[in-house]
Amino acid sequence: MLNSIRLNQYCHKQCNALAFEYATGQLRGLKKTFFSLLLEHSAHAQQHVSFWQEQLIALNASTPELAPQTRTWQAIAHSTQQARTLRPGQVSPKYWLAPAATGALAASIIMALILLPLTPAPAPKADYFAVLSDAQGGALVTATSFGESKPGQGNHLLIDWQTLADTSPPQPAEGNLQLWAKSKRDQQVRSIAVLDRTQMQEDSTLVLSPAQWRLVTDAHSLIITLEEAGGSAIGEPSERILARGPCIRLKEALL
Amino acid sequence: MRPQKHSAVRYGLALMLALCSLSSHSAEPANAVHAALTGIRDAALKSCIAQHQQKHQWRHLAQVTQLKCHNRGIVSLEGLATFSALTRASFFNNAITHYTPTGLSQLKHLNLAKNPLRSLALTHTTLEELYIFSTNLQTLTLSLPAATIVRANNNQLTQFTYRHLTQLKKLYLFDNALKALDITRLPQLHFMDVRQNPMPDELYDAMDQLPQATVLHDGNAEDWQ
Repeated sequence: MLNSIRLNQYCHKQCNALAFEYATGQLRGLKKTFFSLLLEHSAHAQQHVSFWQEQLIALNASTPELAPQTRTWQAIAHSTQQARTLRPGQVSPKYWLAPAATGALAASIIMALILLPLTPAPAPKADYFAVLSDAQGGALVTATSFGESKPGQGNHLLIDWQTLADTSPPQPAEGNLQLWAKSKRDQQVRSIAVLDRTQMQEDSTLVLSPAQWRLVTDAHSLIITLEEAGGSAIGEPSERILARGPCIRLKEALL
Repeated sequence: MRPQKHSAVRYGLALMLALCSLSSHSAEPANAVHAALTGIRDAALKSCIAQHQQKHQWRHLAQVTQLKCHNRGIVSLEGLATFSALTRASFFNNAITHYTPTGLSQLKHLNLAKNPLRSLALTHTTLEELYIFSTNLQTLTLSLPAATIVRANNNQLTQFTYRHLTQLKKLYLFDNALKALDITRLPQLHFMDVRQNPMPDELYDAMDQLPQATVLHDGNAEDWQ
């Protein structure tokens, strides 16, 4: 189960910005997935969202109502009256309304087909989720894994350094960061991957082999360490731990 | 007079010790390590050993007991056997495709992990720790009577045979392609991970019968979905 007290600690200043985007409907994709998860377990995140919702509602309530001008009403009444009474020689709407409606419908369908691919895809469903924090308890990075949602697409793990902490991942002058999984079953720590330079960006996606995916599914927690170039030479993590945190299976956590 | 006698004895002893020391290396040239380096053909390996030599001021082969050459782009270990006093040799993350040194009779720790090896046949009477994970190994043959740990996970092993692994305590074979494994001659084994191998259920049943051994396999792995 998620530890809500720890998650509240993770809700740093970025949380407020995410809450604003969430309340205004601007949050999209993986960030939306992540924040939705956080929202279910973090009272702080909920408070941030409530705050922005109240602010936005208050904006609406404080907008003064304006009475329409007399001539506006007269213009509306005049146009509706005109539509009701047909003059001689005028064609009844029933003759052109049906073809027009059909045309409009066809145009709408074509527009929808054109615009549909341009709309943002719904956020993929996450399977496992971990928030990794440093030795001081500050959240550094989130790791969210996604199972094979489409055949051939493969399992993957999104490593996000910026959503929780407004920092860039460390760029060691020498060596590599290495991601480890501590097994729920036997408590042994096994390497998932050595992160290369491209995978140490603000967020990056690791495509996981079946064996790597298996380590994630069996993970009690994930650990990121600083290792020599190429990773740990003995297949065990060094003592230079940058971040660690529990890994949860979302299906179980959300039951 | 007595103090003079004592100091004469002291100088005599010192001279004898110095002569003994010289005679023990009399078979070696003035700088045996330097001479041995000429037998190393791989430039990256030679450079690594030369750096160690400079750092540790090695002059005699007996001084070269540990060698760590990681991430150097080493392709060949030819000539390494000259360094017969090596007890630890680590060549992690290089480009070594073959390993055939003989004569490393004191070797206790060997690391060839993350090298593009395809086949390895290894006989060492003293070797205790062997690291060969994340290579391209397909066949592995071992005779290591002193070995206690073998890490051969994340390879492509289809065949693993052994003659003597009588002291082996930990065996890591996770993520290979093994369909069969002789588990009947590993009397000291107390941990083995063979998950992610296409082994038959009968073998898993036999593994479950191993006394005093924890075996992780796909037949008892709760994480498998």
